[in-house]
Amino acid sequence: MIATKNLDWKLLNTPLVLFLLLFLGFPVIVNLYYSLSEVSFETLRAPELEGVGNYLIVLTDGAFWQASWFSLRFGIVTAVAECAIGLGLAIFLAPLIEKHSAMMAPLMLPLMVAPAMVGLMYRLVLHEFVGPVPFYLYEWFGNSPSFLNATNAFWTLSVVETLQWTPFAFLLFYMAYEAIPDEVRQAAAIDGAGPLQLLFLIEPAVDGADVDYRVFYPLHRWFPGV
Amino acid sequence: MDNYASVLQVTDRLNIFGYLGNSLAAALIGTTLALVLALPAAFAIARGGIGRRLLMPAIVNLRAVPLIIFAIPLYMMFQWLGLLDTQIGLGLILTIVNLPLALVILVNAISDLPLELDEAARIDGANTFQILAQVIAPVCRPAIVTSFIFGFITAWNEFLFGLMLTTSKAVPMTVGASFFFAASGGGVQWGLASAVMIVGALPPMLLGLIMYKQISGSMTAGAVKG
Repeated sequence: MIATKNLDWKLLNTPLVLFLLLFLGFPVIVNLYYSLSEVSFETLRAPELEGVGNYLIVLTDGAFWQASWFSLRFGIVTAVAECAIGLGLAIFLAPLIEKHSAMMAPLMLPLMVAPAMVGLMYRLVLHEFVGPVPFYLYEWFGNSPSFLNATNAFWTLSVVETLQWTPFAFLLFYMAYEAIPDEVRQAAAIDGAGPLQLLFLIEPAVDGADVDYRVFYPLHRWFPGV
Repeated sequence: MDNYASVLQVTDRLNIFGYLGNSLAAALIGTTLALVLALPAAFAIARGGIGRRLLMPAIVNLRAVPLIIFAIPLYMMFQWLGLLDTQIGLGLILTIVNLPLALVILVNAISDLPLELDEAARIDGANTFQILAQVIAPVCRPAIVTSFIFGFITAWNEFLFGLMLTTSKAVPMTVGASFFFAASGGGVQWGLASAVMIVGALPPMLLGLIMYKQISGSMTAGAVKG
């Protein structure tokens, strides 16, 4: 009986495993082989093994480390900002959302738009010559930074990313906050606990490590910098 | 409304209805197939524990991997399989993109169901596959719908693989939108660009607005544990 059930579980997993082996296993193997080979467009189908030379080229290239540093800073800055703003919104908007659940819809809107579209929209809005933001900054203050130049691109990109993905952090924090039972909230309020204490002190006590897995594990994956 | 009229006009070079149709087809394939693969696996992971230690972390961690690293081998594989510039090919890649979140949501939903449900069905003579099809799947419908909505929005918004794996017949909306930017020559047509971005962003935004209660409700339920 146990053996049959084990076979059943394995059969249920099989389609997914086969799909992953085909569409991810093969590319991983090819990638590894190519990374150790001399490959050009002429030799794409017959690469020649050459050792770790490609890795050495990448690791000694300043551009690689510059790009990695940019990504690391970008990941940390946006993840911290998204979590901080998402948590703040979840705590302070929770009572309002409980009364007017339709508020959730506009808050989640940025999540629904393609990042490529959002990027193009901001490119238009912040464009030095035709964008409305630089135009009004010139009108009101007589000057406007060039949002898209090399100096300011990091912060422009960070703000745009934060604006688009904060709703997801908000949703995760909101559901963690809402998972606290009403009786527990009322008891904590009588004891003088604020919303932050409710979220971080009482929630784990109610739900144990499970909440960490269900709520914060996906958060770590979506915001790898956290 | 001239810009919208221009966007909706079908020409030899630009066909917004074709792009919308391609996005719809690829997103439906990518979302449905991800659910078809993830639901049995989630059942096996949640109930049988098979795949909890290796398969589940491997798939969930796919979210942290930039899929661009598979670009070259996937391009070659798709060329070999005749899947380049097809809706099915794009749908298969979108399945990979959607699998992690679908699996997490479904494993959480099934873990929340009482084990007595399975046991009662088994006493009534149902085997593992019947339990999945006739008991678990209907009860998990809210989580399945949530996975579908998130998956559809993610798939609709995907840009990178759309750009890489399609050229004319299966170009999705996110890539097709960029064709309008210099459609008439003589620099970027900002009015036209804004109109096409609005049209392209409408379907996922409408879906999100209509289904926001389902998304937040189901995710909140997944985080609650008695």
